Amino acid sequence: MAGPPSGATVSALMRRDGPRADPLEESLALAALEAKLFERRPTVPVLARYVLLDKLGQGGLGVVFRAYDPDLDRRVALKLVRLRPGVDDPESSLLLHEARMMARLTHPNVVTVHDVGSYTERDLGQIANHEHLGIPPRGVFLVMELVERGSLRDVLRKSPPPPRKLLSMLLAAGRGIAAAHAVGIVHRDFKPANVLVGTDGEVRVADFGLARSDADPHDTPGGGTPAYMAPEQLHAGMADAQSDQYAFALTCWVALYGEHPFGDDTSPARVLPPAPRRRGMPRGVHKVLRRALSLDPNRRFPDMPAMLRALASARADRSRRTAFVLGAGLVAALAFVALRPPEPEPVCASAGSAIDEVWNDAARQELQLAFLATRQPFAEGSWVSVRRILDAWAEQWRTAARTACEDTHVRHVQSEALLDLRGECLERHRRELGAAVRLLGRADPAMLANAVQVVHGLPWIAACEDLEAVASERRLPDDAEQRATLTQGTAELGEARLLELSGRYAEAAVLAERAHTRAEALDDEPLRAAADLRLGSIAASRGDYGSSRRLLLRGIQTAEGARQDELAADGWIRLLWVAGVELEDTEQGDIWVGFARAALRRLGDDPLREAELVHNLGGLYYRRGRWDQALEHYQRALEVQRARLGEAAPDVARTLNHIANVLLMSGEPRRSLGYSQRSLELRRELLGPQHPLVAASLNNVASAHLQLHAWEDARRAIDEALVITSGSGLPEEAVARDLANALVAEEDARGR
Amino acid sequence: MDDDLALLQRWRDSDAAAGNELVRRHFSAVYRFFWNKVPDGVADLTQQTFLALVEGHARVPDRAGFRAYLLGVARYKLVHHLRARYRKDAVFSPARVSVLDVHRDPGSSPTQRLAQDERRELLDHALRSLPLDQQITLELHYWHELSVEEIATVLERSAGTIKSRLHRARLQLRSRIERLARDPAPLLERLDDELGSLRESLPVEIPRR
Repeated sequence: MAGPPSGATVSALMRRDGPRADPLEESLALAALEAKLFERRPTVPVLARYVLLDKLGQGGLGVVFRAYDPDLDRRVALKLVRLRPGVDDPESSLLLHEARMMARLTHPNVVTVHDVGSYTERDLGQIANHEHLGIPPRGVFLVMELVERGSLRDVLRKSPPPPRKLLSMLLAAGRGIAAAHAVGIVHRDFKPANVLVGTDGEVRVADFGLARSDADPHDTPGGGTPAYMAPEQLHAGMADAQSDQYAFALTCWVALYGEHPFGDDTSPARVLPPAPRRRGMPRGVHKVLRRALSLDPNRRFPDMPAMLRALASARADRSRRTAFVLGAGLVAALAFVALRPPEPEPVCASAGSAIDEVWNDAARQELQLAFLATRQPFAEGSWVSVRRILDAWAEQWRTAARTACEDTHVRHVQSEALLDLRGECLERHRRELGAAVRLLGRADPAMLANAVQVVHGLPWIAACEDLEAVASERRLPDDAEQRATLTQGTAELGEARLLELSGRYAEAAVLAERAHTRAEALDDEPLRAAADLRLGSIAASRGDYGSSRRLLLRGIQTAEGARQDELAADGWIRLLWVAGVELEDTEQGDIWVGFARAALRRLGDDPLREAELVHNLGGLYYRRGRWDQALEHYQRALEVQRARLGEAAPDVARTLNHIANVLLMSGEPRRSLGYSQRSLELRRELLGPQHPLVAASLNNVASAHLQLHAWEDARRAIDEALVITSGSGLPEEAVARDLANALVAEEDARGR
Repeated sequence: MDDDLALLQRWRDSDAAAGNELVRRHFSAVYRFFWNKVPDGVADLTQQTFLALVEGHARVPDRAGFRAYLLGVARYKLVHHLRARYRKDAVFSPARVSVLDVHRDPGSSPTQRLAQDERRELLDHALRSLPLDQQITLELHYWHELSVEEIATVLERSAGTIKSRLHRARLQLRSRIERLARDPAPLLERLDDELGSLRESLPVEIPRR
């Protein structure tokens, strides 16, 4: 141990060293970042035809990568095994021979080996930093199926299943070993870490024969892992089917009893302790394991199949009782089925089943996994809500589609042409669901926080039932290709809207841009108008108000020309906010108010859009410094929004925050704080804790605290706002930094 | 440093080459900033930091230059990351809580850790036991060679505060090192853990995840 430093040496100590990092992981991280940001092909490397993606693990034998097989377009695990220095030609090694045999074996409980080969330093030419990557200079490579989950070891560490379930998994692994023995392959290194448990719950044994004597296992004797080796393998280096049986039994013991029977003891005469008690463990199991763990190979079972039979029948001792109970349940279920009256088979019975293509068990499972994979504490809760909402939405869709079908074919109240229109409308909605599911499937922690918001943003299905509205939309083009382009553009806009809602403005802009390009190519005015308005909205969200104004105006012009009344109304309302409030040109704002009013009159009764207009009028008063009128308008808008949308709505949260703004200006920080804190609470819940708008509420909270001289509270709110927005360049970041500067100035003034 | 700001602007105007140049210039600093503070997720945090830069499009508030701004962003990403992993019943404050309070064993894989000599091990452990902002202050000063003004930008504090904090942090670090050198038990215990997990993972880890 180094001696304690004297006074002056702290600086010297720090100066002598620099920040540390693993150079290879750093270069891989840089390559990954460049691939993501610049679509640059990572300089990471190819062996044979396999593209190395990232390193999964490293050990004495070599290294494992996640890799990509471009020929078969699939991801694989690529394992590179080092050869012992004495072995001259990898091509003639026993290791390669056995790996080839493995590649010929297919069994559901054995990890499939797709391809094997050998390589020398020459073949590594494309891999610039291969020695840093831990790639052995010469050796054998194995291309295996990629099992995306953990090993039995992880399962045991995290949440060991009950004994019966464990026994089933172990029996499956045992069958894998037996299958390999049948073609003359010995595992040599069986242990919990070599039993892979896939997402499908399937059990597969990996790494047969890799611990061969001509592989270079560094410091482990006889190739295997000492803790799981049979005495004859441990001390005489003899590995065969009998030593695999021993390792398998030892694995069973560790899995079932939760502890290693020998601890660190590797002596040849170690003694098996009595079986620990464990609830639900069939009694015969222990006897089977005891025999398979005999020190003398000849006293074990003659082969794996014999042992597996004994183990399975030991398990059955207990499962027979369980089977009886299960049987009773089954009878009850059958009785229930029989009592249900047979369903009629109407014309429209299968109408609506198209939704199952988008939202089905596979999609549910995939989403759930994507959510859980984010490892966020709230992933599970979020998944439950999202699933509930999507299930309900899909059911609504199904009912709507069936109703539409029945209106034509059963009730005969609408023409086939109208059915087509309703169908198109529903189809659009279905695509939005697809887009939402895809978006959620890319779940990262930030996305997850917004997941509920995204599904709440799905269109209102009943809109398709409004026949007048549907009929007013013009038909799709006859040309199939144009139709497809239009469909795509519409879907992209739908996804852009969801992305904007969830605060992913850059991605939203890319999609809206793409939709705009399609609209231009088709010369489709409604789509172009919608794309321009979306782009304008996104620009405003990002704080680029000049561009926003330009885009909104362009979109409104197109919408007006194509008689897209709703689009036009939304455009005018938004424009007066952007121009009059954000760009502080109140006179121009006043002009747009007139146009917004006219557009609203054309739409007829539309309380929510009217509330939005009233809200924006409040903004114009705010800009003019007329706090009373501003407050009054905001309050009026809030009343309508609360009545129509309920309390838990993003619009309510926004209006609350704007009221807080006014109260800050009129010198009522305490009252303001009430509004901004309520807004904060709602936004956190609705938009997720990382949404930029949460920072907007935090900024108002911080401002109130500053006015109240509650420095620590202000510091905390600013800090949190910056955690969310730092580096984003969003308006919320600029405000937070101004507040931070104000606080620093305050600190200086107080001499802190 | 102005050059960096110009590159950023060009990057935001969709000039990928400029972005790539900027990333290459600063990648290492950001990556290493995170490296001794989280056990995993270094690449991810680095990526988040650069993404945050380009996602935004407005001006960089350039009180003290690009690098300080960038590391300031990195610090916020780090604080956020650590806060999410800190005890649920306590408030995470970078001024009071250390990296070791959050992760018992931050840093990289056992093999790399083992290769380090004891002196370095001691220094790293002592640094990580300081309140996060003190650790960052020292590292920015000695390793990243930032000026007091730049450090003030990163930490959102006044330059005066930073000066006194630097002084305090040095004293703290010294006493931590002295205490560790007298009683290296926690350090040895941790090394022992690492040896244990290393032994278990031989001969080779299987593809999983």
